[in-house]
Amino acid sequence: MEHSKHVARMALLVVFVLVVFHIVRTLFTPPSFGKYGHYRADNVTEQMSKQVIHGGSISCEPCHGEKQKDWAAQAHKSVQCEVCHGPIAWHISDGTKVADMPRSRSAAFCLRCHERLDGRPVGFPQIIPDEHLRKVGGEMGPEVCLSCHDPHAPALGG
Amino acid sequence: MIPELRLPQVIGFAFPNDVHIAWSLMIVLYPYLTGIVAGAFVISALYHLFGRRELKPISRFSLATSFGFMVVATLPLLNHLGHPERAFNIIFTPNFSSAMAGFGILYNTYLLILLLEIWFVWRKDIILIARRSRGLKRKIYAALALWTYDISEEALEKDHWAIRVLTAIGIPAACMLHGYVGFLFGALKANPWWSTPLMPIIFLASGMTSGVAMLIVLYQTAMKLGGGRIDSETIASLNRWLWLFMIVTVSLELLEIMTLAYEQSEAWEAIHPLLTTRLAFSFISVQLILGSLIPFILLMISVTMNRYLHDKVRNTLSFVSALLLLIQVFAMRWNVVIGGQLLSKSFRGFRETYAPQLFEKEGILAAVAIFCLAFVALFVFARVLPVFRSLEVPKGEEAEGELR
Amino acid sequence: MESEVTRRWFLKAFGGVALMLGVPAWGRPQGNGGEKSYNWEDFSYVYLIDVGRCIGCGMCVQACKRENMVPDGFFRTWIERYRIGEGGRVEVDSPNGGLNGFSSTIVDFKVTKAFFVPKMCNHCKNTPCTQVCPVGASYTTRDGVVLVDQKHCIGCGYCVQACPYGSRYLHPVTHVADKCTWCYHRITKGLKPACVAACPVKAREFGNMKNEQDPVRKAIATEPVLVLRPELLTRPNCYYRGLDKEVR
Repeated sequence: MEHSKHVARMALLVVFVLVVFHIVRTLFTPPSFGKYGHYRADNVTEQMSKQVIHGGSISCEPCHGEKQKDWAAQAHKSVQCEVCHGPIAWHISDGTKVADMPRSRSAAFCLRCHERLDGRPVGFPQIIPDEHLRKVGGEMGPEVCLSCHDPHAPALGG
Repeated sequence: MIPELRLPQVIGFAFPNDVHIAWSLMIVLYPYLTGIVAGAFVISALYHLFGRRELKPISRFSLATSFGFMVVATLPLLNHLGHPERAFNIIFTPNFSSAMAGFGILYNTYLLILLLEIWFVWRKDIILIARRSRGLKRKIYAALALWTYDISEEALEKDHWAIRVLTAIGIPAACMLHGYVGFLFGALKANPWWSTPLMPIIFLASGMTSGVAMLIVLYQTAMKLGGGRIDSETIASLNRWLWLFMIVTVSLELLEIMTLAYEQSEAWEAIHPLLTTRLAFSFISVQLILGSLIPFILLMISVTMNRYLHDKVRNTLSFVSALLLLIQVFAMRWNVVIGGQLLSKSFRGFRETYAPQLFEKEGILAAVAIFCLAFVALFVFARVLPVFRSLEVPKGEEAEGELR
Repeated sequence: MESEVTRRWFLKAFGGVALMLGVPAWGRPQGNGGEKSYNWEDFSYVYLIDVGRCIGCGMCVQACKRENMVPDGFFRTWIERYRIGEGGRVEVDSPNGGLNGFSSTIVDFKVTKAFFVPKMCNHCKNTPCTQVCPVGASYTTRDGVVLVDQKHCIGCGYCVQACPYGSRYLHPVTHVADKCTWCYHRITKGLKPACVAACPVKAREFGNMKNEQDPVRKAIATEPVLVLRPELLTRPNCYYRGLDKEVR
């Protein structure tokens, strides 16, 4: 076609750019992409391999089995060890102890579950601190709950 | 290692994760820029495809403006991304159920069309400049011409044909480039302030408005600074288009609010206080009164009494309306993007405010810098290629063949 | 007393402890290797929350934060407290997501009903979030868990905007999208998510719809349960027993 050389040349340039783009795209798409769906399949195993921090109360048993015997028979057996004492990963690393577990003695910690609040189910053991102390007789203090209750065997009177 | 958390004030109850704003000033700026891109292109198309001769004086300039803003349009997005180095994932592994994945294709397609159209429009000038230059400049312009130097009547005819075709496909491409952002917001059922089928049309109409407004402001400024004459027919025509586009824009924006207010579905509980308290200034004062009502009146005067107006009056009315509308469109983007994030998906609470800092990464200075960069790009373009005139082939000069 | 149950629990425990010692993870989704291979075709996870049991202690939020290193101010799971009174008065709060529990703050109306609602990513069957991810970083696994590929995510934040439940956020340090993963690294090893394990009152239960004996599956099939924002048709996999109309 006469007088169209410039059009043809531009068209060629455009095609060249598109081809280069497709080559680059193939090179840069991650290897496992698309295997199970529109995502990087390798990520599934990456997510599975993340470190487990809480081992569950069962993971405390090898060293603290004796203590657990009390706990497992009493009212707090539904409260996992790690809920109050922190996850095992804070305590053990590579089979050796790296830190002490927290042992909160404060009344505030007990009240976190056991203060009477709107919204807590009626059957759940909960108190208004001042009223409770007046009833059982006691002085308000930072660790007052522990003066009567053992956290691993909290119910009084058997 | 965790950065200092500036917890924002919350009114009412917001979902805990909702207090953090994910889309900042950068995301307000991005559709603002692409709106101008699309609007400027449509004005250029009105001449190149629809033959509106009164727009010829700015037909090239509007293409250049579209280009200038197009060049910087990705910058706010790159600045906002958590991992800009992975930005190309959008075109390497696009997930096409996502409107945002369309960005890769829409941006590059429109950029290609724009560049091609610019090439065909200015090809003759490139070759003429190459012939008159020596040394490095000559080499550069020769390369821009792709080393072909045919400027005969027949070749230019082919160029005009190409320009018409490119404009024809460029209009939907430009509209898609800007409209998809509207769809991005409008198709999100999670946010009632954004979720409406009207959103792409609103974005498009306000994009047209901002494009025409920007052309008016730039054209008048360029003529004033460069000692050129402001063509009264051109300004009159731009005024008409600006008035038309702003009427459509504001009507749609008001229609959306009216429908929400009338239907009073669950979302109205959150949207009503949003509009009357959190967005009272930016929506009612800036967007509606300053940005819509006043320009509407000014343009009404300018358009209906056009033939009675002195040039200076027309130009001033035009300039002021255009400036106000540029502010209006920015306010609209702000109210949509930021407004939608001020309200929590609990529909029971709001973030008190969003105040971008001057010096932060996605802050005011960054936004101003990117915006100014568009003008810099336009300025550079105008130095390389003539934007207000077309070089004529001198008599006797050979039309085709070698470079010489 | 060596019963079959104890032996199995011990195996699981040793698996757990071995993991703590840095033993490499279990094989590919359909693979072999390790003590037991995990096949995701056998699982379709589901979560059941009993609003009536929740005491708002926030131990679940705490456990999640510790298990997944959730940054301050952001939440993979959280608790909301609703106090509803006469005249349609509703007061909702979630102090720091419930991370430190709740305290007895005063409201200026008579409370006729109140409850705590645990929330997290609902791992919807019809996800609005993976739909809008532009790069395919957010996806749903074959066992029904919605995850984010932290290495592929570009941090655009579209998924955060798309979630109607507010369960996503942009991580302030890694700058990618983040959210509850139902502790995928735990459940694929036979453990429960950290929040479920921590709950002292069985307000949170986790199950497998593909297991005919699964108690959660049975509960959902036989009892009235609700999901959040059902009208949006996201088809959540988190079901609620005892949900009130005021909860969004």
